[in-house]
Amino acid sequence: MEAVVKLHWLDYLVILVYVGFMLYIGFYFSRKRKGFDDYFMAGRGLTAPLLVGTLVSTFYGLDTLFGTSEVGFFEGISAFFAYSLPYTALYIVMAFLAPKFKEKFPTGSTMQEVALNNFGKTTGVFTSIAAYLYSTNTMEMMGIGFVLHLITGLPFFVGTLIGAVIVVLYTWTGGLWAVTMTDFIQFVAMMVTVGLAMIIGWKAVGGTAGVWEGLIEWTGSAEDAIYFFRPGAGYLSPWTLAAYSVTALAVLCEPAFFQRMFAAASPKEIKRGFAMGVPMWLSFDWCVSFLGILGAAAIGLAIIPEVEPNQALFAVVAQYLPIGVLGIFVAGVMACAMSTADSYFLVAGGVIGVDLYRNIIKPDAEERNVERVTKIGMLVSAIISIALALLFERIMEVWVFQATLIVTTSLIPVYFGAFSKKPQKKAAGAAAAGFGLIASIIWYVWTNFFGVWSEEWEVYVIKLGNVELWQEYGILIITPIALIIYLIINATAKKTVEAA
Amino acid sequence: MDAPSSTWDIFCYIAGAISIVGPLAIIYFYFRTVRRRLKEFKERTSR
Repeated sequence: MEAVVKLHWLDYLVILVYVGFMLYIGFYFSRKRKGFDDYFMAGRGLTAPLLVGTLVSTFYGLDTLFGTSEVGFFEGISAFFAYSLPYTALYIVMAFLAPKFKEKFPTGSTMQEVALNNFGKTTGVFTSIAAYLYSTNTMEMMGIGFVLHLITGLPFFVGTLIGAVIVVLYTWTGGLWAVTMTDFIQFVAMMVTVGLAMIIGWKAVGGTAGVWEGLIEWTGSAEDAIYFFRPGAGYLSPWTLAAYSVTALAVLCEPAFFQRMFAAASPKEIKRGFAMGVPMWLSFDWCVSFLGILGAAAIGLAIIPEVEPNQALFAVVAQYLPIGVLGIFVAGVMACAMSTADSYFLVAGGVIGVDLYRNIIKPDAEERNVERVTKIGMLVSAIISIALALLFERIMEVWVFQATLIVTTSLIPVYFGAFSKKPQKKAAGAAAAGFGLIASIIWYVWTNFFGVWSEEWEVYVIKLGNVELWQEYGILIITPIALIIYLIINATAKKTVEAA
Repeated sequence: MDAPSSTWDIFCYIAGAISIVGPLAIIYFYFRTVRRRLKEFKERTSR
């Protein structure tokens, strides 16, 4: 059992202290909190600084850290301009919408409640299923297993298991307070270390001039190297770029965002939280995109050996960060995964405990029973996440699938329900949500089993005559159909639901 | 083929600086406002 990346003992100490501190926070809040509202909604007292920490760190996990840097490694600055900017636009939109949700639903707990209250139980169940599937942490569990394997040499599945136990333990014991406080520390760790790596690494290779030299060496010519600095360059078709951009709509129906909105102290705090979060998201995206480009250049300059694209970020950072700070970086990488995983475990628990058990199955349930069911839901989600992490080798499409699922199922009932001035028809919400959920699952099963795997594009492709449909296009096809179904049924059906 | 402009350097250093300074500035707000909230939380739970 030998570590792939060897760290100094001081680095290991930093990582151990970090993990110990996370567990302590969970234990601390388990003793202090009283009642389910403290456990699940942090007493509805989150202020802007805590909100920005938990919002940024929750939405940015290892998929952003390694995924975006990998895109930068291959596609250059398109990683930032084509992938990240649509998300930024939606964060800004959310800064205006989120306070309105808090004003309209001051006692709300979850996004699914908005659908349930406006369209009834069937819609509530459909959106709850989508939220639960969306909240599985496959990517983050794989990431923690991968990082622990790199730094300790532990087998992948052992690393995954250890990571899951740590995250579930402090989330289980401390609830949203523990999640928010640990998210805040994790937010600082991941932001600061990525910022340090950006400045130190970029300067060490000689800035843009050095990177340019490395890219020419790596690609073989200046003509090939220049596309790293052209937004919109790269191999992706406009439709694929559109599909990836549309996944940004997940920002508008992100269950973890909604839980934090409702847990905020006031609408003003939410607005401030998002306003402070936008520059953080932007700078983090920029740094990881350019660290990916730096990784490709560093290989060209023979600073680091030929590594897998998703390892380039790690390799280049390990090259430049000093002892101790490297430990903080590894803790920051784990923080990226843990801060996302803890939030979604709690969201998944809430789907079972709040949305299904308290709101649908047993409205008069005692608080302690709701908490118990929430914790069971969280545990089941953790088991599913670990199982999927061990089952699947390639999970990059998991994010697109999850985004498709939540957008097609929840976006229409949640927003029409919340912002329509006239009462909406019960059947319209149920039909749109049901169609979105079922069509998304069928689309992914169909393309997985009956599509042709393209080695060149690394996607499943369905051929209909001369038309090639990529698996990623599902969100572009299903969302408009769900909208049309909603509008037709809303115009023709009679029965409305009184808002609860 | 012209090399990319060194303007990219400036943006990279600005992004790096925001990533470092931003969270530290928020920590300042954190200590100023969240300690107050935690105090309220403790008072509420000790009742």
